[in-house]
Amino acid sequence: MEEQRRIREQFFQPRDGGESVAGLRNELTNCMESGAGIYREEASLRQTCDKLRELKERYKNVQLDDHSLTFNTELTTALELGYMLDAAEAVAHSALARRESRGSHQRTDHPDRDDERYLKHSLAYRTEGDPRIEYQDVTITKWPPGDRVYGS
Amino acid sequence: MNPEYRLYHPKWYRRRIPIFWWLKKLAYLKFVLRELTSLAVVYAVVLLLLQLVALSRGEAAYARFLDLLGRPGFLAIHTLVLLGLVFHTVTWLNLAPRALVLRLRGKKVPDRFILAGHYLGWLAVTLLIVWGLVGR
Amino acid sequence: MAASNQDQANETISLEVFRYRPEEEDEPSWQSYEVPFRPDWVVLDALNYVKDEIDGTLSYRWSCRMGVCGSCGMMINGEPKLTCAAFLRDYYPKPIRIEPLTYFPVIRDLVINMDGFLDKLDSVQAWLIPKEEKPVSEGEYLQSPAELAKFKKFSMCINCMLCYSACPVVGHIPGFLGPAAIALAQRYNYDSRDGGADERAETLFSHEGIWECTFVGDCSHVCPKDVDPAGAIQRYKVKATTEWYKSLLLPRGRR
Repeated sequence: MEEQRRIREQFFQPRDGGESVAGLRNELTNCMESGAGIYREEASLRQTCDKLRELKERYKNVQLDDHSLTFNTELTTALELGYMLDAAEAVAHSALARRESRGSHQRTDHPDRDDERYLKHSLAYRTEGDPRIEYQDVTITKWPPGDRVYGS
Repeated sequence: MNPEYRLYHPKWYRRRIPIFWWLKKLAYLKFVLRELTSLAVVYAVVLLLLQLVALSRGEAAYARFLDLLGRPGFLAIHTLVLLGLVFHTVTWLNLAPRALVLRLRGKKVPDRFILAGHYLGWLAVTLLIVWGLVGR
Repeated sequence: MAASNQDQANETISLEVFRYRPEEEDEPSWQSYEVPFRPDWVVLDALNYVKDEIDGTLSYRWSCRMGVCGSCGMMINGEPKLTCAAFLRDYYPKPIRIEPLTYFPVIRDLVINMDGFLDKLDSVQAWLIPKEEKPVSEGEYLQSPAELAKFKKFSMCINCMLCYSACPVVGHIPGFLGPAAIALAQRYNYDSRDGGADERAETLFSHEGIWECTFVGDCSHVCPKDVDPAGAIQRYKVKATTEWYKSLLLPRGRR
């Protein structure tokens, strides 16, 4: 009941200047593609993090066409968008904090791997504002870190 | 979920099947025509039985039977029946490779061999019957 | 999709979509949408455009958008197709009629209820029943490429249910097991690791099993993965018949 009330309040109220799910989702796609893509660097990652903050605010104003309760896929898409924003924040802030390149995280401003400081897992914790990034040691059993090269 | 709930869920919409569902698609029409030609098969079998009955009643009866069959009306019907029989046979023989999948030394026997086998068998039986009726 | 090349000519194509809103009305209706025509778009792209830009209330299923998940089956101009595999350019400039898969009850708009199908999969026990149980420590069940070839075609089924919408028997006799369920039963019957053919036999031989099939053959025609369920059913009919004769003529002998 609590959850139904929350959903009704959040998604089904008519609003002036309401945001559309598709619009926010497309902006999220573009923002992540430009800042947290294959090659990353400080400035664009910061821009992405700022944009994500803005998108999360705007998400509170999201408005749906579909207010029905039978197989309402617009509602499920909106809920998934909320989670996608959380996941995007975790990715972008962790990438910003990781000042090295490792595997598919390639920083053009920090092109080398830095095992002293960053041979760790990034853990992103939800807070009232930006996620808090903490680190956890990696357990190495069989394969030590090595250079990423193709071929032997 | 309770099965009854599923069968009689009040708000799930169930579309009706139209009476002429078989005219909606070429595949369905071809199927219905194929099935209808089985009536031609039934007719041919009944005709054969009647022919045997006539034969058993003696020459006069048999001659009358053949006269009857010679009438234009019957010739027309029997042409259609023959076409129906051929259509029936061809469509069913063509489906044989789907039902008979043989493996020889680990590999599947290609469809064309199964088809060829069936058509040759049909030809052989036909020739045998023709020779039996006409040959001597 | 929205951020694509704007200098393209403003060609559009019309979608006529089946709508059903159970909370508002008892009868379904039709709604027309004008969507941009792009030569590389499939019907799913057009539906997503409708949902994102025109009318968010349209409900439909989709997932992988590349023909492997089997979620997006719908009737397109009366033919059961995967919307991710039906190109707009094959229909342009005529309007495209989109309806939910036939012979299934409609929950909402283009979404059907498929519980019946899932029950049928359960009833044929469409899973591996090993000939001999082996503990993991004893290693893998080995299978040669030739043994794999025997059932590989039937394993390609993605449970998209297009074959059920093509089969008039399913329409007239809802309890009929149907093409996919029987093809999947055969997938396991022909699997060299499987020993469950006898267990499946009862369901397959039953009143609404294989014998309801009249070999219309449309199921194999619409199958997007070339599974040939019609072939699977006919082969089982052959097997069932020979097994019956064997049990009659060789009661204690070879089976």
